[in-house]
Amino acid sequence: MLEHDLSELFESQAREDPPPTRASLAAATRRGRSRLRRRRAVSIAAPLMAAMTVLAIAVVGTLLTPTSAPTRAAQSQSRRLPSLSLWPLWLPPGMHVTSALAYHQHQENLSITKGDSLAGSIGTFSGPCTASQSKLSCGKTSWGPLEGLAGMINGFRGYWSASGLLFEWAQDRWADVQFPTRPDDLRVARHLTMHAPPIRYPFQLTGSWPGAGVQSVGSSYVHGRAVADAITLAPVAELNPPVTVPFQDIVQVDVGPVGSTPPCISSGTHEVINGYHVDVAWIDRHGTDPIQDVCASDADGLLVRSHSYGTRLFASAPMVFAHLRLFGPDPAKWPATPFG
Amino acid sequence: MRLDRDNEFTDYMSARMPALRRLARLLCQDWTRADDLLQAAMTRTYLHWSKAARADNTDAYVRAILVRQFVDDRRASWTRRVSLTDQPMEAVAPGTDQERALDLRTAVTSLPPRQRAVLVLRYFCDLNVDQAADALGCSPGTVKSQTARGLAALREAMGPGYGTPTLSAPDQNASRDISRGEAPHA
Repeated sequence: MLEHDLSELFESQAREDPPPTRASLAAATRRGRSRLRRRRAVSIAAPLMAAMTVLAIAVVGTLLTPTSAPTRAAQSQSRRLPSLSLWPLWLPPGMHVTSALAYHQHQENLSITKGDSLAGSIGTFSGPCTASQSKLSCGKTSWGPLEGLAGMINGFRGYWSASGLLFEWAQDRWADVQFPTRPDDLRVARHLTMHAPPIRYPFQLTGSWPGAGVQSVGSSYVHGRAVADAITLAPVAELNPPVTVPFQDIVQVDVGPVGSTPPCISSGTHEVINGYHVDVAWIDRHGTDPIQDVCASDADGLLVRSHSYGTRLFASAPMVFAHLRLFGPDPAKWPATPFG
Repeated sequence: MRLDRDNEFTDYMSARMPALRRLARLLCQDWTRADDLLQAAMTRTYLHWSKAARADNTDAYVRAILVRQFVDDRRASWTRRVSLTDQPMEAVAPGTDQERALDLRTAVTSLPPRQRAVLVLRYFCDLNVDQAADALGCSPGTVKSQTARGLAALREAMGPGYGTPTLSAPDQNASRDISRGEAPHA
């Protein structure tokens, strides 16, 4: 009888009129594509959320505004920047690195295009992994199915997967190379260097932020020059490993040329922050904490925005914007660090 | 190739989203978390799409992703946070049947995730023990023990004397969907 009632309960619940969904197929495709390129863990979002929730509560009392006397250790940690660990010295004809996203612990992804289309990618991840006949297992994450040995690459064993070439490029550091053909995968893998071009920043964050650090750096590559176009700031305890989705308790700074997309949201309030005219808007995320968006459409020749996700923040989006020093549109004048 | 893959995935998911969402709602007993679960499961499905598309039963493969995502997520402590909502409580008309239905719903909500998942797979998706074990990635013995424990917990929660039918009969013509493992829609 209980089984019967249970079945009827489930049936009745399944017949309920559902509310409008917050789930998005487009977002799933976009995120999946991005993660597929990076070959990054798909199951870390929940534990990360756990860590973020607990740690955000723990650090909320100690973070907050810029202070004048951070400890040396805290300052050192907060100013550690994620950087690219691999860079291709050879790419198939017509292909170029156009953007990159770097997290700490050697986790990064390089997007490579040909014309306007994504043509390849190089991703890295860290950790001890074991390869079986069917998959490569790295902690809770696995890649596969493996389709055989790809031979030795710079002294390390490589494996073919359905989408590309997996190999250990250094002890417990793995790379995932994906190009249209396997010969291309192999040749790119054998021509990787650990000397990526230095990234230039169009802005600097002034003041001391002992409790916060740079979680990720997004960069683009124009005429061989690497320029930062997005950095994500998070509590120091939240810097590793990278957060996936949904964003929570972070502030991101985006910078691009005037006219970049997406444009500023003009329907919010108009204010002057840090001497720049900005639009301040709140974006509803349908049930989760809203996003605060502070955006200047022309700040010394740049479109600059800071946007915050969540309510347990180490600093608000306006506060971060108020501490930005901008260097104008000429990359030749940009510094190599986002801290000033 | 990538475009084909994306189109194939989009076509499939567009057709299956409503059914998967209903299954997620039964697992989570909450639409908000169901949407979060569905979002995560769709992303995971995209990552494994080449394998899912080649599977003998793609629906069963995708359902397994959703159920395992649910069990994995619920292991993490953040999901034990109190869920606040601006939705009004469901109105329940006075009456013994409705009260019992609400009691049963409350009891189901209090079950551990794996037990709840087993019961949903067995008594909503009509899976047998072996099929439920495949979906959960565990042994048939585990499914049996989790089913027994789940039912025992429900009986205890419902109190002595429970055993008479309490809910209105379901619409037997209600549309069947992926969560029951039937053939895909044309």
